[in-house]
Amino acid sequence: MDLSGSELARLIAAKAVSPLEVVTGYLDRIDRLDPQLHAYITVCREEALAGAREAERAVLRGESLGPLHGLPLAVKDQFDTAGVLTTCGSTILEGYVPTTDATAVARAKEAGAILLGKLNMTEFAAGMGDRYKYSGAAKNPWNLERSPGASSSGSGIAIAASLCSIALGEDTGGSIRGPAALNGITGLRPTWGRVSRHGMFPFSWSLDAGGPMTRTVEDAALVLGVIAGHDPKDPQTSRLPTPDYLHGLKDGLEGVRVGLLREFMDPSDADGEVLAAVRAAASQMGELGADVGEASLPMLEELGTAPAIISESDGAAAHRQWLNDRPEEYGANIRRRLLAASLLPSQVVHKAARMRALFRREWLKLFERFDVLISPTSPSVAGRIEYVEGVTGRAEAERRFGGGKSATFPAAWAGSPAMSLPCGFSSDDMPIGLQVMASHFREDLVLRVGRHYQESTTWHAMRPELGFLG
Amino acid sequence: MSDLTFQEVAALAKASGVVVSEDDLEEVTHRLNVTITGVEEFSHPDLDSVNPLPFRPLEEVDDS
Repeated sequence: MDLSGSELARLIAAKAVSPLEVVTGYLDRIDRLDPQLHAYITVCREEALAGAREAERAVLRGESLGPLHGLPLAVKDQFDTAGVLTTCGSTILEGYVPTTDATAVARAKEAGAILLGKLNMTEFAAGMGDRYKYSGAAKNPWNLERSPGASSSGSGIAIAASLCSIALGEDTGGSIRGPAALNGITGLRPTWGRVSRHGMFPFSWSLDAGGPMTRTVEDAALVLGVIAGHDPKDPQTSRLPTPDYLHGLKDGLEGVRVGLLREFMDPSDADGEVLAAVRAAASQMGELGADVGEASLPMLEELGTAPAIISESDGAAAHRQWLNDRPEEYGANIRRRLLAASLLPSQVVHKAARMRALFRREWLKLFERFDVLISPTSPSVAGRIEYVEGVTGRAEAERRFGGGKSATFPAAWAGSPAMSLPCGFSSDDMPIGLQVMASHFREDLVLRVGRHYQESTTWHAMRPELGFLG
Repeated sequence: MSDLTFQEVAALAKASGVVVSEDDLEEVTHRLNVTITGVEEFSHPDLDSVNPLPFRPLEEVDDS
């Protein structure tokens, strides 16, 4: 259970490990641990066992195996899965059983992955505040009183607690990278258009991106190579060829220009332990041959609520009918958030869209000086699990929704790739996430920098002690 | 711009065909006011000349 997906795939292909033993082992672990962690909404027990038996037969027959052959895969419940309940974390979709797979899921299965189940998530992938609708509160395996992050909560938990080998998540403004940081795993948001959104329930058409959540950067490269590429069912997917991401990992860091993004290194905004861990990671990259300097984009301080205007007005449009017809089935936070976004004046939305275009232009200029940018993924480690019952005044609304600076939003807003990977632990033993960002379609650089950093550190190999759960 | 009142937001919702219950009206109003004022101060010399496209055209990406 402690092997990475890449290691496991190699052992399965070498007939050193049986896919059936692997799947059975993960199912046993889910039975023991998930009643407390709540990573899964649906476990596909019989289907997974049948898939494992078939995978084993294929190995024994000496068939040509796909790159994910025999690997137990779990996916956020935002992805359609043929014949399997798909709720998107909402009771509105209770009973929805798609007849086809989302393209990303279909490609993973074609590459040999075995679907183990569907993972818990916040309602409609819309962030924090409301209670989870299924399975109970998702819990951080490093401390069961702490949050696992949102919205790909179950994906973060399942990888950290070894309840699956590889996972898929979705990231609108940080929903892969946030849970990756808080649970101490690797999570990659690809360039917008790199991975098909077909069959992935939308929140924001212009921001949503599906991607891998894994134990290691090598696993992320392995999974991305399978799910990326043009899809006629999603016309916005790029026709650029998909690089061999695994091959690209071999190049070193000599001469790679790394920029530490100043705006997210402010001690008044982020915990000292987080900043120290990220500075240490920057130094480590320098030791590995990278040319590390300071990067800055002052516009990051000036965006206010513009990122929220874009994502939430997109979300309001996607939910308009259900908001009117079935409002009581939404949590109060997401309902009020989408209702407010439904009423935004067009001039305000238009201004935010122009701000995004300007921001993207300035963001891309940074990559003329740097190959990658780095920052903390989150300014703090996971906090206590909290549910918010609503705001009672203008001042509280200003404090909560007034446009605080988020390190995960720049890459999402620009449509460029970004990855979170572990870079340390706090004094109370919670994981700290390092974010690596690059220009459009340069996942190869993000993965290369992350891989070489991981090869020289052991943070990604740390696992939560869960023996007390059963 | 001064904040919208509860009554103005209720009227805006009605005109837009958006159903906002009495229970939700106060928070929706506060959220809306905070969101609108959150971009009021932003200014940039190119703000009115840039096209509000979410992403670079794919052919531009192909050249990069």
